[in-house]
Amino acid sequence: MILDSNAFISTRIENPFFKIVYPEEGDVLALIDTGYEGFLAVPPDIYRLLKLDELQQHSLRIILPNGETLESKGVYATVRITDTNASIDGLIETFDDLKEVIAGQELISNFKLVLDYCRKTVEVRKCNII
Amino acid sequence: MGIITVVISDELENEIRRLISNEKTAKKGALSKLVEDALWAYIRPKLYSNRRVFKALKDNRVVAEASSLNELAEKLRNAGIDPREVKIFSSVSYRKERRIGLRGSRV
Repeated sequence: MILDSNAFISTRIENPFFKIVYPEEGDVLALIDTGYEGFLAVPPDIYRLLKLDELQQHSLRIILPNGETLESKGVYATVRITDTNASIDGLIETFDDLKEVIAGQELISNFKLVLDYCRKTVEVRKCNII
Repeated sequence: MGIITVVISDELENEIRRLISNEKTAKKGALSKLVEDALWAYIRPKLYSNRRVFKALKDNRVVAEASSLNELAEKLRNAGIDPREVKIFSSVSYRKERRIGLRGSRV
C-alpha cells in the first residue's frame, strides 16, 4: 500500500530459533527503501520482542547520506511477505533511533514490485527466474 | 565442447542473426557464445539460490548446517543445542557497511 507517497509491503518477521513471530496477529508494514542496501532493518523494540538480541550478533555499520556512520547489529531471521506468502531468510539488523521497519535491496530483489500511485497500491510477486 | 540441436522460432532466429551481424566484432562462434551466455544467465540464479547454506558455529566448529533457517533451527533443536550458543553464518556473504537513504553526487 502507499501512504503519504511512501510505498510499503505487508510483512511478518520470524525468529525461527525461538519460534517467535512479529506481530503475533496481522502484519507489520515495511517501508520500501531502494536506497537501503541491507535486507530488513527493524526498530530496537521489535528486535527485542523477537528475541533477536539474544542470538550472537554480527557487527555492522550504516552509512547515512551525509557520510556519517552508525553502529548496527544483526542476526539471520526470516521475513514473510504476506501478499505472496513467500518467506525469505536474511540478515535483519537494528540500530538506535530507528522508528520504522525498512525493507531494503537484499529483500526486495527477490520480488517483482508494481507501484501504482493512482490506486495507492503495491503489487508484490515472487521473482520467476526466466 | 557439447553440441546441442534445438528448435527455435523463425522470429527468434532472425533476431539473433540480426543482432550478431550488427556486432562490430562479429566473428565465427558468435552464435555459440550468445547461446552459452544466455543459458548461463538462465541457470546461474537457480544454481546460486539452491546453493545458499546457513551454518551454525560453536567454538569455531560447524555444529549444524541447512539450506534454510527453519531447517537449521530444527536441527539445533534436535541436537539439543541452545541457539544462543551458536553464531549463524550464511554462504552468501553480506556487506558489513550498508548505505541507507537518498544519495546524490555533484555533477
